[in-house]
Amino acid sequence: MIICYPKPKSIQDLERDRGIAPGMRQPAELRRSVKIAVIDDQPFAPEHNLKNNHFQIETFRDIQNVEQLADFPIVLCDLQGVGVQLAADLQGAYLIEEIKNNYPEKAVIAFTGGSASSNISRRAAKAADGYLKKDASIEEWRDLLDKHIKNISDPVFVWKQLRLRLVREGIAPIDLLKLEDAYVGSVKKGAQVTRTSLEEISKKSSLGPTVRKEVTGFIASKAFDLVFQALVGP
Amino acid sequence: MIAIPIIKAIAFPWLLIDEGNRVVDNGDGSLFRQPEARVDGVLAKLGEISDSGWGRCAAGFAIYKFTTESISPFHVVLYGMKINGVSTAQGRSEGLSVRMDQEHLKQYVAEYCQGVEALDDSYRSLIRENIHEIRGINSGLYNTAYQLDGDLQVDHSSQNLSNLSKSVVRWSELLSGRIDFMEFIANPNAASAPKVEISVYKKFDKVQRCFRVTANRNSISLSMRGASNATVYGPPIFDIIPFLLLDNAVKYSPPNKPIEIICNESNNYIFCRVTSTGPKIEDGELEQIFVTAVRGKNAIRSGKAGSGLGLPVLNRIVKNVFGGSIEVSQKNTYLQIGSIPYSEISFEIKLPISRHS
Repeated sequence: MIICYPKPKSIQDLERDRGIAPGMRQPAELRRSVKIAVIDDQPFAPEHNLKNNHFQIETFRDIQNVEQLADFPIVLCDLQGVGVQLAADLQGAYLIEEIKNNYPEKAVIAFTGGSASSNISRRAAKAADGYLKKDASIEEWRDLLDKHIKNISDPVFVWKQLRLRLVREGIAPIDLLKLEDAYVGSVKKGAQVTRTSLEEISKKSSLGPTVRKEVTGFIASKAFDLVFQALVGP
Repeated sequence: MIAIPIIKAIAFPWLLIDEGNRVVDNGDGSLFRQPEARVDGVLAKLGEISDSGWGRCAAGFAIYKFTTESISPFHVVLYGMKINGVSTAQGRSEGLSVRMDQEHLKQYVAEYCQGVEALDDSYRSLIRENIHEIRGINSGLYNTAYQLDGDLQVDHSSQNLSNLSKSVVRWSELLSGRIDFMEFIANPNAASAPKVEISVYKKFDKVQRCFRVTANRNSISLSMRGASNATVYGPPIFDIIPFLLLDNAVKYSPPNKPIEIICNESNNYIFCRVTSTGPKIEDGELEQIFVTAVRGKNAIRSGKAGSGLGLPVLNRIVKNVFGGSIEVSQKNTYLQIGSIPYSEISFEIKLPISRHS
């Protein structure tokens, strides 16, 4: 049995405080602060209309490596005609898997003009966080993007996602407890304090290499910064 | 599912059964009639055969059960056969009395299944390609109309609104071209519709204007020159010709490359040439370019959706419907994108000018 005193803070404490302070910025304001990458070998037809709705869209015809997407918390990826240099048979589905493997905190949305029942579509839908038809309405694009922008800017959601990955990598419960306590205790104090707290715990604990990689990757990610950009003070 | 009618062409007596071994359809073979063996005697033994394999009916004739992806979840059962090592029926009987080896029959079935799968694949590819293209066009149409609606609220500059509304019309015309192509595949009798005079230059010009909406978005310049008032005489499916030529050119062209159309007439013929940059046609592929369901190696590697049906249809319409000819030429590779070589490729069609014009 683990007995800790004082009682460590859990993410539920932060969840309970939500709505009091700090609050999150409004969707229209959040749209302006989240960079969205679109990978499409054809011009992305909704681009103009989404930009008119204040989404920050940047398009790529294709990418040579996933590091090109490091600065984009959200990626929209076409399934046909992209990633052909990397995997001719899986194309966009391969790119999505690679992005999620390297940047699990990113929200990746697959879209395609092709059939939803094709092998590529099925594989992509499994790896991606969302899926849309290429001719989806602007309202559908807007709602899906707003949902993911809200999620990746939400300190509770972001931590829960990291926690799932840490558990999957076999983190010891005591280490998870300490990390969560540090995160919840410092998140209201800003990015730098939170980063330092997590780094200290990470150094002191005997985390395995994959767990440590997840933690350091999270601290260094755009998603981490975004959480603090999205918050408004108490 | 298109495979099921083809079962009727199997040489041997057959049954189409469902997963519960219930008969869905049955018939004599196309080559060998049903012998004395009775269907009831065959069905009684099917429980002894799992997904595929051999059995023997009550009358001593061989049974062979199989399926393939295109037939699944149904199975086909061949019966009434004399197969070495399986059947015990002796002597002459009405119907099939040829004796053969198991391997011989299995080979026959394997080739049948391969043929069925290839046919099924080709239809699925066509449907997939059209879903992809139509969704792309619909996306362009929707977003242009959406933008037009938004701009109407705030921007009353007539030039901008006029450009947007023209785009809507062109997207719609592209959709129409795609539907014409699908209709021709579904109903080749469209070629027997009443003949009319068709102005070739005007048709090419109209279609190339439609494709500007997709070409411009890729920074591909489309230009047309030449002079011809000549007409051809034929059914009103001519639009499919420029549609397929330009669809191919725009689809495969890398950004910032020109597509040039030249239409001229000479000696009772009208010549239309479309020149663009596309994935190199490798040695030996040029002869196959109009063969149904065949696509070039580099075209496939480019990742662009295709069914391999566009150029064969183009060839059929030019030659069989309008009595013309088509030539493909390619210059040396001058561009490499990733590992895919690109060349300048020209399609030239030659059509007899209508004597009515």
